[in-house]
Amino acid sequence: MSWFRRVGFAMTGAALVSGWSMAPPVHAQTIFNTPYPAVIRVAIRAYNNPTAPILYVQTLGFEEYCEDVLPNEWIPSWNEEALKAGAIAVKMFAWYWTLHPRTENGWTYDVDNTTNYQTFKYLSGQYKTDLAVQQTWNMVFVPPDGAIKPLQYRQGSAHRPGYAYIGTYIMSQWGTEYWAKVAKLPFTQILSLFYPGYQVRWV
Amino acid sequence: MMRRFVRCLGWLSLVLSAMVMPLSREAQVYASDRGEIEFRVGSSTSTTVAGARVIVINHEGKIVSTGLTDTQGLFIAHVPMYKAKWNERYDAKGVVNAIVVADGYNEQAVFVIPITEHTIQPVILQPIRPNARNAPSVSLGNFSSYDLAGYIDRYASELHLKRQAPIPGEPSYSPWSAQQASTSSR
Repeated sequence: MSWFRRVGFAMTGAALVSGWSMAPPVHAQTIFNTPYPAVIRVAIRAYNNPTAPILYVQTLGFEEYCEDVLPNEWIPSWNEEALKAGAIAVKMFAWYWTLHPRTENGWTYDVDNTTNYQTFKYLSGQYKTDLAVQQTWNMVFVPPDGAIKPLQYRQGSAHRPGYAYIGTYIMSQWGTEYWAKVAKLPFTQILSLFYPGYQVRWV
Repeated sequence: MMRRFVRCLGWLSLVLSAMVMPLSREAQVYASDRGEIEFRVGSSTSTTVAGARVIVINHEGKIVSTGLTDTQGLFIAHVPMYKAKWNERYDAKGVVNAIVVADGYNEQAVFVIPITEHTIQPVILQPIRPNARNAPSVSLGNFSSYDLAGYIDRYASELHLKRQAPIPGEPSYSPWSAQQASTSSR
Protein backbone atom coordinates (compact mmCIF):
# COMPACT_ATOMS: atom_id res chain seq x y z
CA MET A 1 0.00 0.00 0.00
CA SER A 2 1.47 3.30 -0.95
CA TRP A 3 2.34 5.88 1.67
CA PHE A 4 -0.10 8.33 0.17
CA ARG A 5 -2.98 5.85 0.33
CA ARG A 6 -2.25 5.07 4.01
CA VAL A 7 -2.33 8.76 4.87
CA GLY A 8 -5.59 9.07 2.92
CA PHE A 9 -7.22 6.22 4.84
CA ALA A 10 -6.03 7.64 8.16
CA MET A 11 -7.41 11.09 7.38
CA THR A 12 -10.75 9.66 6.21
CA GLY A 13 -11.00 7.58 9.38
CA ALA A 14 -10.23 10.57 11.58
CA ALA A 15 -12.82 12.66 9.76
CA LEU A 16 -15.44 9.94 10.21
CA VAL A 17 -14.69 9.52 13.92
CA SER A 18 -14.73 13.25 14.60
CA GLY A 19 -17.90 13.63 12.55
CA TRP A 20 -19.51 10.80 14.50
CA SER A 21 -18.67 12.36 17.86
CA MET A 22 -19.66 15.91 16.84
CA ALA A 23 -22.94 15.08 15.09
CA PRO A 24 -26.05 15.56 17.26
CA PRO A 25 -27.97 12.43 18.26
CA VAL A 26 -30.25 11.13 15.53
CA HIS A 27 -33.42 11.79 17.55
CA ALA A 28 -32.67 15.52 18.14
CA GLN A 29 -34.76 17.77 15.94
CA THR A 30 -32.53 20.43 14.49
CA ILE A 31 -32.63 22.80 11.57
CA PHE A 32 -30.37 20.31 9.76
CA ASN A 33 -32.87 17.43 9.79
CA THR A 34 -36.25 19.17 10.17
CA PRO A 35 -38.03 21.33 7.56
CA TYR A 36 -40.51 24.08 8.42
CA PRO A 37 -43.99 22.65 8.93
CA ALA A 38 -46.36 23.28 6.02
CA VAL A 39 -49.31 23.89 8.36
CA ILE A 40 -49.98 24.53 12.03
CA ARG A 41 -52.97 23.54 14.18
CA VAL A 42 -54.23 26.45 16.29
CA ALA A 43 -56.67 25.84 19.15
CA ILE A 44 -59.09 28.77 19.14
CA ARG A 45 -60.22 29.93 22.58
CA ALA A 46 -63.02 32.51 22.95
CA TYR A 47 -61.91 36.16 23.23
CA ASN A 48 -58.24 35.09 23.00
CA ASN A 49 -58.66 34.24 26.68
CA PRO A 50 -55.95 31.86 27.93
CA THR A 51 -58.36 30.12 30.33
CA ALA A 52 -61.35 29.80 27.99
CA PRO A 53 -62.29 26.36 26.64
CA ILE A 54 -61.27 25.45 23.10
CA LEU A 55 -64.00 26.29 20.57
CA TYR A 56 -62.36 24.59 17.57
CA VAL A 57 -58.96 23.85 16.05
CA GLN A 58 -58.04 25.81 12.94
CA THR A 59 -55.41 24.44 10.56
CA LEU A 60 -53.66 26.99 8.39
CA GLY A 61 -50.39 27.59 6.56
CA PHE A 62 -47.36 28.10 8.82
CA GLU A 63 -46.33 31.39 7.18
CA GLU A 64 -49.89 32.75 7.28
CA TYR A 65 -50.00 31.87 10.97
CA CYS A 66 -46.79 33.86 11.64
CA GLU A 67 -48.26 36.83 9.72
CA ASP A 68 -51.41 36.69 11.85
CA VAL A 69 -49.39 36.63 15.09
CA LEU A 70 -46.77 39.34 14.57
CA PRO A 71 -49.12 42.41 14.45
CA ASN A 72 -50.75 41.21 17.66
CA GLU A 73 -47.48 40.69 19.50
CA TRP A 74 -45.41 43.58 18.13
CA ILE A 75 -46.69 47.08 17.21
CA PRO A 76 -46.86 47.31 13.40
CA SER A 77 -45.63 50.93 13.37
CA TRP A 78 -42.38 49.99 15.11
CA ASN A 79 -38.96 50.07 13.50
CA GLU A 80 -38.53 47.37 10.86
CA GLU A 81 -35.50 45.86 12.63
CA ALA A 82 -37.64 45.39 15.76
CA LEU A 83 -40.32 43.75 13.61
CA LYS A 84 -37.76 41.43 12.02
CA ALA A 85 -36.46 40.35 15.45
CA GLY A 86 -40.09 39.71 16.39
CA ALA A 87 -40.77 37.80 13.18
CA ILE A 88 -37.93 35.38 13.89
CA ALA A 89 -38.96 34.89 17.53
CA VAL A 90 -42.59 34.26 16.57
CA LYS A 91 -41.57 31.72 13.93
CA MET A 92 -39.06 29.84 16.11
CA PHE A 93 -41.52 29.68 19.00
CA ALA A 94 -44.25 28.25 16.79
CA TRP A 95 -41.90 25.86 15.00
CA TYR A 96 -40.83 24.35 18.32
CA TRP A 97 -44.42 23.72 19.38
CA THR A 98 -45.37 22.07 16.08
CA LEU A 99 -42.79 19.47 17.13
CA HIS A 100 -44.41 19.14 20.58
CA PRO A 101 -48.20 19.00 20.04
CA ARG A 102 -50.70 18.60 22.89
CA THR A 103 -54.13 17.03 23.29
CA GLU A 104 -56.76 18.64 25.53
CA ASN A 105 -60.37 17.46 25.85
CA GLY A 106 -60.03 15.52 22.62
CA TRP A 107 -58.54 18.45 20.65
CA THR A 108 -55.01 17.95 19.35
CA TYR A 109 -53.20 21.19 18.60
CA ASP A 110 -49.76 22.73 18.25
CA VAL A 111 -50.47 26.18 19.74
CA ASP A 112 -53.50 28.14 20.88
CA ASN A 113 -54.55 31.68 20.01
CA THR A 114 -53.70 33.21 23.38
CA THR A 115 -50.74 34.25 25.47
CA ASN A 116 -50.45 30.61 26.57
CA TYR A 117 -48.48 30.55 23.33
CA GLN A 118 -48.73 33.65 21.11
CA THR A 119 -51.71 35.90 20.40
CA PHE A 120 -53.15 34.82 17.05
CA LYS A 121 -56.01 36.57 15.28
CA TYR A 122 -56.99 35.14 11.93
CA LEU A 123 -56.97 37.74 9.07
CA SER A 124 -55.15 40.35 11.17
CA GLY A 125 -51.94 40.58 9.09
CA GLN A 126 -50.66 44.05 8.20
CA TYR A 127 -48.35 45.18 5.41
CA LYS A 128 -45.29 46.05 7.55
CA THR A 129 -45.45 42.95 9.71
CA ASP A 130 -46.13 40.68 6.72
CA LEU A 131 -43.01 42.14 5.12
CA ALA A 132 -40.89 41.42 8.22
CA VAL A 133 -42.05 37.79 8.21
CA GLN A 134 -41.34 37.41 4.50
CA GLN A 135 -37.93 39.10 4.58
CA THR A 136 -36.71 36.81 7.38
CA TRP A 137 -38.45 33.65 6.20
CA ASN A 138 -35.22 31.87 5.25
CA MET A 139 -33.47 32.85 8.49
CA VAL A 140 -33.55 31.07 11.82
CA PHE A 141 -31.93 31.88 15.16
CA VAL A 142 -30.55 28.82 16.91
CA PRO A 143 -27.84 27.56 19.27
CA PRO A 144 -24.62 26.32 17.62
CA ASP A 145 -25.94 22.73 17.42
CA GLY A 146 -28.94 23.91 15.37
CA ALA A 147 -31.56 22.78 17.94
CA ILE A 148 -35.02 24.24 17.35
CA LYS A 149 -35.76 26.27 20.50
CA PRO A 150 -38.86 28.29 21.41
CA LEU A 151 -37.59 31.87 21.56
CA GLN A 152 -39.43 33.32 24.56
CA TYR A 153 -40.40 36.99 24.82
CA ARG A 154 -42.29 39.37 27.12
CA GLN A 155 -43.69 42.88 26.66
CA GLY A 156 -41.20 44.67 28.96
CA SER A 157 -41.53 48.31 30.01
CA ALA A 158 -42.72 50.91 27.52
CA HIS A 159 -39.95 52.82 25.70
CA ARG A 160 -37.25 51.08 27.81
CA PRO A 161 -34.28 48.97 26.67
CA GLY A 162 -35.21 46.04 28.91
CA TYR A 163 -31.83 45.63 30.61
CA ALA A 164 -33.34 43.07 33.02
CA TYR A 165 -34.02 40.77 30.06
CA ILE A 166 -30.61 40.93 28.42
CA GLY A 167 -28.89 37.53 28.42
CA THR A 168 -31.92 35.80 29.98
CA TYR A 169 -33.16 34.04 26.82
CA ILE A 170 -36.36 36.06 27.17
CA MET A 171 -36.60 38.98 24.74
CA SER A 172 -38.22 42.27 25.74
CA GLN A 173 -40.62 43.36 22.97
CA TRP A 174 -40.34 47.02 23.96
CA GLY A 175 -36.59 46.38 24.14
CA THR A 176 -36.51 45.38 20.46
CA GLU A 177 -38.04 48.74 19.54
CA TYR A 178 -35.63 50.63 21.79
CA TRP A 179 -32.50 48.92 20.44
CA ALA A 180 -33.70 49.28 16.84
CA LYS A 181 -34.90 52.87 17.04
CA VAL A 182 -32.54 54.47 19.56
CA ALA A 183 -29.37 52.38 19.23
CA LYS A 184 -30.04 51.61 15.53
CA LEU A 185 -28.99 47.97 15.94
CA PRO A 186 -29.83 45.46 13.21
CA PHE A 187 -32.22 42.67 14.19
CA THR A 188 -29.45 40.07 14.40
CA GLN A 189 -27.65 42.06 17.10
CA ILE A 190 -30.90 42.69 18.95
CA LEU A 191 -31.57 38.95 19.02
CA SER A 192 -28.01 38.29 20.22
CA LEU A 193 -28.51 40.64 23.18
CA PHE A 194 -31.36 38.56 24.51
CA TYR A 195 -30.31 35.08 23.32
CA PRO A 196 -26.49 35.06 23.72
CA GLY A 197 -24.62 32.32 21.90
CA TYR A 198 -27.40 31.77 19.38
CA GLN A 199 -26.71 32.57 15.75
CA VAL A 200 -28.49 33.31 12.50
CA ARG A 201 -28.58 30.39 10.06
CA TRP A 202 -30.14 30.13 6.64
CA VAL A 203 -32.58 27.36 5.81
CA MET B 1 -50.48 90.31 -25.62
CA MET B 2 -47.91 88.83 -23.21
CA ARG B 3 -49.14 91.07 -20.37
CA ARG B 4 -52.75 89.97 -20.98
CA PHE B 5 -51.69 86.32 -20.87
CA VAL B 6 -49.86 86.82 -17.57
CA ARG B 7 -52.90 88.63 -16.10
CA CYS B 8 -55.16 85.76 -17.18
CA LEU B 9 -52.79 83.28 -15.59
CA GLY B 10 -52.87 85.29 -12.34
CA TRP B 11 -56.67 85.25 -12.25
CA LEU B 12 -56.74 81.56 -12.99
CA SER B 13 -54.33 80.76 -10.15
CA LEU B 14 -56.35 82.95 -7.77
CA VAL B 15 -59.60 81.16 -8.66
CA LEU B 16 -57.95 77.71 -8.38
CA SER B 17 -56.35 78.45 -5.01
CA ALA B 18 -59.69 79.78 -3.70
CA MET B 19 -61.32 76.48 -4.73
CA VAL B 20 -58.60 74.22 -3.36
CA MET B 21 -58.08 75.90 0.04
CA PRO B 22 -61.46 75.07 1.58
CA LEU B 23 -61.25 71.52 0.19
CA SER B 24 -57.85 70.84 1.76
CA ARG B 25 -58.98 72.32 5.08
CA GLU B 26 -61.99 69.98 5.02
CA ALA B 27 -59.72 67.04 4.21
CA GLN B 28 -57.49 67.86 7.17
CA VAL B 29 -60.41 67.95 9.60
CA TYR B 30 -61.71 64.70 8.12
CA ALA B 31 -58.37 62.96 8.55
CA SER B 32 -57.89 64.05 12.13
CA ASP B 33 -61.46 63.57 13.39
CA ARG B 34 -62.49 60.35 11.69
CA GLY B 35 -60.99 56.96 12.30
CA GLU B 36 -60.93 54.06 9.89
CA ILE B 37 -61.93 50.52 10.77
CA GLU B 38 -61.12 47.77 8.31
CA PHE B 39 -63.42 44.82 8.95
CA ARG B 40 -62.01 41.54 7.66
CA VAL B 41 -64.77 38.98 7.72
CA GLY B 42 -63.84 35.32 7.54
CA SER B 43 -65.04 32.02 8.90
CA SER B 44 -63.65 29.32 11.15
CA THR B 45 -62.97 27.22 8.07
CA SER B 46 -60.19 29.58 6.94
CA THR B 47 -62.10 31.35 4.20
CA THR B 48 -63.11 34.97 3.69
CA VAL B 49 -66.79 35.88 3.57
CA ALA B 50 -67.96 38.16 0.76
CA GLY B 51 -71.31 39.95 0.94
CA ALA B 52 -71.47 40.03 4.74
CA ARG B 53 -73.43 42.98 6.20
CA VAL B 54 -71.44 45.01 8.73
CA ILE B 55 -73.38 47.42 10.99
CA VAL B 56 -71.30 49.82 13.05
CA ILE B 57 -72.96 51.34 16.12
CA ASN B 58 -71.58 54.16 18.26
CA HIS B 59 -71.75 54.67 22.04
CA GLU B 60 -75.12 56.42 21.70
CA GLY B 61 -76.62 53.39 19.94
CA LYS B 62 -76.73 55.07 16.52
CA ILE B 63 -75.64 53.38 13.31
CA VAL B 64 -72.61 55.31 12.09
CA SER B 65 -71.71 53.09 9.14
CA THR B 66 -72.99 50.03 7.33
CA GLY B 67 -72.15 48.13 4.17
CA LEU B 68 -71.29 44.79 2.58
CA THR B 69 -67.90 43.12 2.47
CA ASP B 70 -66.21 42.91 -0.93
CA THR B 71 -64.96 39.77 -2.66
CA GLN B 72 -62.00 39.63 -0.26
CA GLY B 73 -64.25 39.87 2.80
CA LEU B 74 -63.32 43.52 3.49
CA PHE B 75 -65.48 46.44 4.55
CA ILE B 76 -63.96 49.80 5.52
CA ALA B 77 -65.92 52.05 7.87
CA HIS B 78 -65.11 55.70 8.58
CA VAL B 79 -66.39 56.70 11.99
CA PRO B 80 -65.94 59.77 14.21
CA MET B 81 -63.15 59.62 16.77
CA TYR B 82 -63.78 60.59 20.39
CA LYS B 83 -60.70 62.47 21.37
CA ALA B 84 -60.26 63.32 25.02
CA LYS B 85 -57.49 64.29 27.37
CA TRP B 86 -57.44 60.85 28.96
CA ASN B 87 -56.93 58.94 25.68
CA GLU B 88 -54.41 61.23 23.99
CA ARG B 89 -51.56 58.78 24.73
CA TYR B 90 -53.37 55.77 23.28
CA ASP B 91 -53.95 54.78 19.68
CA ALA B 92 -57.62 54.10 20.45
CA LYS B 93 -59.77 57.25 20.41
CA GLY B 94 -63.14 55.90 21.48
CA VAL B 95 -64.89 52.64 20.72
CA VAL B 96 -67.82 51.34 18.67
CA ASN B 97 -69.71 48.06 18.54
CA ALA B 98 -70.63 46.15 15.39
CA ILE B 99 -73.00 43.44 14.22
CA VAL B 100 -72.00 41.21 11.32
CA VAL B 101 -74.49 39.00 9.49
CA ALA B 102 -73.99 36.84 6.39
CA ASP B 103 -75.96 34.20 4.55
CA GLY B 104 -74.94 30.74 5.68
CA TYR B 105 -73.48 31.94 8.97
CA ASN B 106 -74.69 32.69 12.48
CA GLU B 107 -74.73 36.35 13.47
CA GLN B 108 -71.94 37.89 15.51
CA ALA B 109 -71.75 41.01 17.69
CA VAL B 110 -68.31 42.53 18.19
CA PHE B 111 -68.05 44.75 21.25
CA VAL B 112 -65.57 47.49 22.10
CA ILE B 113 -63.83 47.95 18.76
CA PRO B 114 -61.13 50.60 19.14
CA ILE B 115 -61.33 53.59 16.79
CA THR B 116 -57.83 54.40 15.55
CA GLU B 117 -56.33 55.95 12.43
CA HIS B 118 -56.58 52.46 10.96
CA THR B 119 -58.00 49.65 13.07
CA ILE B 120 -57.89 46.14 11.65
CA GLN B 121 -60.82 44.20 13.02
CA PRO B 122 -61.05 40.52 12.06
CA VAL B 123 -64.51 38.96 12.51
CA ILE B 124 -64.64 35.17 12.36
CA LEU B 125 -68.18 33.92 11.69
CA GLN B 126 -69.44 30.49 12.66
CA PRO B 127 -71.12 28.55 9.81
CA ILE B 128 -74.72 27.41 10.30
CA ARG B 129 -74.73 23.73 11.31
CA PRO B 130 -77.86 21.75 10.41
CA ASN B 131 -79.35 19.65 13.22
CA ALA B 132 -77.23 21.46 15.82
CA ARG B 133 -77.71 24.41 18.13
CA ASN B 134 -77.18 27.63 16.14
CA ALA B 135 -77.05 30.97 17.94
CA PRO B 136 -75.45 34.40 17.64
CA SER B 137 -71.93 34.66 19.01
CA VAL B 138 -70.02 37.51 20.56
CA SER B 139 -66.41 38.61 20.33
CA LEU B 140 -64.27 41.49 21.53
CA GLY B 141 -62.69 44.31 19.56
CA ASN B 142 -59.08 44.04 18.46
CA PHE B 143 -57.44 46.07 21.22
CA SER B 144 -53.68 46.29 21.20
CA SER B 145 -52.08 44.57 24.20
CA TYR B 146 -49.82 47.63 24.47
CA ASP B 147 -52.83 49.99 24.75
CA LEU B 148 -54.26 47.60 27.32
CA ALA B 149 -51.09 47.71 29.43
CA GLY B 150 -50.94 51.51 29.09
CA TYR B 151 -54.59 51.83 30.13
CA ILE B 152 -54.04 49.79 33.29
CA ASP B 153 -50.75 51.53 34.14
CA ARG B 154 -52.33 54.96 33.81
CA TYR B 155 -55.12 54.36 36.33
CA ALA B 156 -53.02 52.22 38.68
CA SER B 157 -50.47 55.04 38.81
CA GLU B 158 -53.18 57.63 39.41
CA LEU B 159 -54.32 55.65 42.45
CA HIS B 160 -50.69 55.17 43.60
CA LEU B 161 -51.04 51.40 43.64
CA LYS B 162 -48.06 49.28 44.57
CA ARG B 163 -46.59 46.51 42.45
CA GLN B 164 -46.89 42.89 43.58
CA ALA B 165 -43.83 40.83 44.50
CA PRO B 166 -41.57 39.80 41.58
CA ILE B 167 -42.64 36.61 39.76
CA PRO B 168 -40.02 33.84 39.54
CA GLY B 169 -38.86 33.51 35.93
CA GLU B 170 -40.16 36.96 34.93
CA PRO B 171 -37.16 39.28 34.62
CA SER B 172 -38.97 42.56 35.21
CA TYR B 173 -42.78 42.30 35.14
CA SER B 174 -44.98 42.18 38.20
CA PRO B 175 -48.69 43.02 38.19
CA TRP B 176 -50.21 45.88 40.13
CA SER B 177 -51.36 45.18 43.67
CA ALA B 178 -54.72 46.12 45.15
CA GLN B 179 -52.84 47.99 47.88
CA GLN B 180 -52.06 51.70 47.64
CA ALA B 181 -48.66 53.07 48.52
CA SER B 182 -48.54 54.94 51.81
CA THR B 183 -48.82 58.71 51.51
CA SER B 184 -45.26 59.18 52.77
CA SER B 185 -43.74 56.91 50.09
CA ARG B 186 -45.53 58.59 47.13
